[in-house]
Amino acid sequence: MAWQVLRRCGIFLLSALAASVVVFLLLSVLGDPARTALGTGATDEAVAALRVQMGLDRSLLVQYLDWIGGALHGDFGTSYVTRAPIGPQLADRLSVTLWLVVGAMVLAVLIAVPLGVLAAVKAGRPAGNVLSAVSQLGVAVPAFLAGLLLVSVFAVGLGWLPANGYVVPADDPGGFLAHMLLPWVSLGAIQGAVLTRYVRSAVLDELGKDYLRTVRAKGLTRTQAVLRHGLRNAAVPVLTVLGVQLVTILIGAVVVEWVFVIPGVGSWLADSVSRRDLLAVQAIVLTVVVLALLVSFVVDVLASVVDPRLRTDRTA
Amino acid sequence: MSDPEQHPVLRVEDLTIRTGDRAGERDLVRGVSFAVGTGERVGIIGESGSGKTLTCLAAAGLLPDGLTMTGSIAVRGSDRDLVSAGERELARLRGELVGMVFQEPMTALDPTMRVGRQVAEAIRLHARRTSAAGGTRRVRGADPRVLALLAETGLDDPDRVARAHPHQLSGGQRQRVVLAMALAGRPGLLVCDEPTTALDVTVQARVLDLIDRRAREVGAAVLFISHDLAVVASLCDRVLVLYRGELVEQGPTVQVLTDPQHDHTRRLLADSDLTGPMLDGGPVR
Repeated sequence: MAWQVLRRCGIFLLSALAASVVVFLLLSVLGDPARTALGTGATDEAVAALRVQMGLDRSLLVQYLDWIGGALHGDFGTSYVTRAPIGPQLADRLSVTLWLVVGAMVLAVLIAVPLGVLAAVKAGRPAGNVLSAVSQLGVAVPAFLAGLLLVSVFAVGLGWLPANGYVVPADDPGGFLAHMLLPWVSLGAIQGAVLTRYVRSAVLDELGKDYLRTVRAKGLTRTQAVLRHGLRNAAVPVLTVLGVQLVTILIGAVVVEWVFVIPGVGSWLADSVSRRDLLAVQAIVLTVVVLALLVSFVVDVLASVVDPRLRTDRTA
Repeated sequence: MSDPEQHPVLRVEDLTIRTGDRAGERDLVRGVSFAVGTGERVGIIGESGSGKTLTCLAAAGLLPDGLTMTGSIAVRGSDRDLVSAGERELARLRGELVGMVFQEPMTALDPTMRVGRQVAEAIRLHARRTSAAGGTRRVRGADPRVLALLAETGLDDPDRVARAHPHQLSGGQRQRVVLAMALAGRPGLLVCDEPTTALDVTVQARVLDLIDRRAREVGAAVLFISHDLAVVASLCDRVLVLYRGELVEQGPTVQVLTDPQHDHTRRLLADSDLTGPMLDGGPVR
C-alpha cells in the first residue's frame, strides 16, 4: 500500500512536470507578450527593447526554468497588462473558487448519496421513478438559470440573503456563509442531480451481486445489506465521477461566479483571456491543471483504500 | 433418524413459485411438498431449470425479486410462514434457523471487507439475538470466536485468513469461509446449492467431507442440491427429483437411484456414470 502511494506520487509529479512544459510552450508560441503589451502601433525597435527587458530574447529552456522556478515559490511574475503581481491575486482568487467548489461538492454529495441509493433500492417502483425524474430535471437545468431563480426568490423577492458579492470568511464568517449559500445551492444542486444518477447506477450494479445475497443469508435485511456492504462497493465508480466533477467545476463555476459576482478563478481566467494577459492565463491554467492532477491522485489513493483489489502489491 | 413427518426442521407444502410479469405468468415451481427431519440429509436432483435452486432459495427466505409464491414453508423455531413473511421477519430467521452455502464461492464474499470481519458479522448477528453477551462489542479480525470458527472449517492458518481480503484466498478457502458463516448461528438446517460445482475436483471431495462433518457437529439437517448423483448418493439419506418445476419422485437414496420410478429419474441415472459399488453401502458416513 505504501509503495502504491509512492508510485502514484511519482506519477503525479511527472505528469505535473509534463503539463507545465506543455502549458509553457503552448502559450509561448501563441503570441508575443511584448507586442501585446505595447499594442499594435508600437515600432519594432520598441518591441525588441521590451523583449530584452522581459527576458524573451533568452532561450526557451532558460525562460521555462525561470518561469517554473518562480511558480514553485508562488511567483508568477507581474502582469504586463494590469501591472499587478500575479501570484497574490492567484492565491486570493483560488481560495474563493475553492470555497465555492468544495462547498458545492459537499452539498452535491449530501444530496446525491441518499437520493441515489434510494432511487436504486426503489428502482421500478413509483418512488424510484419519481427520484429518477427529479434528478433528470436537475441535470437539464443550467446552473446559471438555477442561480438566477434562487436570486430572484431568496434575494430579490424575500430579501433573506444577499444577491451577490463575496466576503472573506476570516473577516466575517456569518457574512461569508450568507453570501455563499445561494452559489453553493445553485452549483451543488445541479452537480448533485448529476451525481445522483451515477450513485443510482453504481448501487444498482451492486444490488444484483452474489455477496449481497450471502450477507442477507447471514441475517441482514436487504436495506442493511446495501448500507453496510453495497455502499462501499459502489463507492469506487462514484469516487471517479466525483473527481471529474470537481475538476470540471473548478473552471466551470465561471458562470455561477458571474451571476453572483464572486471573484473566483474562472471569471479571472475569462477576463485574462479577453485582455490577452498571457502571463496570468499561463499561471491560472498551470494551477488548474496541477489541481486536476492532484484530484485524480487523491481519487486513485482513496479508491485503493476503499477496494483492496486495487492494491496490487501482495504484502497488503 | 427421526421420522421427518413428526418433527420436521423444514416443511414445504404445495409450494408454487411464479414469475409475475404481465406478459404472461409462468409457474417455475408447481405444487411441491416435502419435509426434512432433524439431522436428515435430503438431496434435490433434476436438470437445470427444474426449480431446484428456487425451491431452496425460498426455503432459505431468499426468493429473488419479481417472483411470487403460494403454499406454505415452515421452519422449526419460527411460527411464521415463510411464504407470507416480510423481509424483516425473514432476515431474523436467516442464519439463525437456516444457513446457506452458494454455488459460486469466488463472488460470494464482500470484496472490500476483511474475511474476519465478515465472519464476525455473522457471529454478532447471532449473538445479538440469543444473548446479550458480546452483542454490541465491535468484533475485529482477531476475535477468538472468529478464529475458532475458521479453524473448525479446516482452514490451516485462521489468523492469516481472518486478516485477508477475499481476493487473496482460493475458491476452496472462500467456500470454507462461507460455510463458517452459514453455520455461525448453529441453524437447524443448512441449504447447499451445488456448493462444490465451481471448485477443483481435488478440493470438491474435501469441502464435501467438511460439509458432512460440520453439519453433524452443529446438528444441522442438510438440503443439498446437486447435479452430481454420485455426490448425492454419498451424502444424502433421501432424494427428491424435480422435473420442470414438479416433484416427480422422492424416497430413500438407494431406492430412488437403484429402482427409479419416473422416466426423468431414469434419464438422469443413464446420463450419469454411477457405478454399482457406490450404492451398495447406502449413504457413506
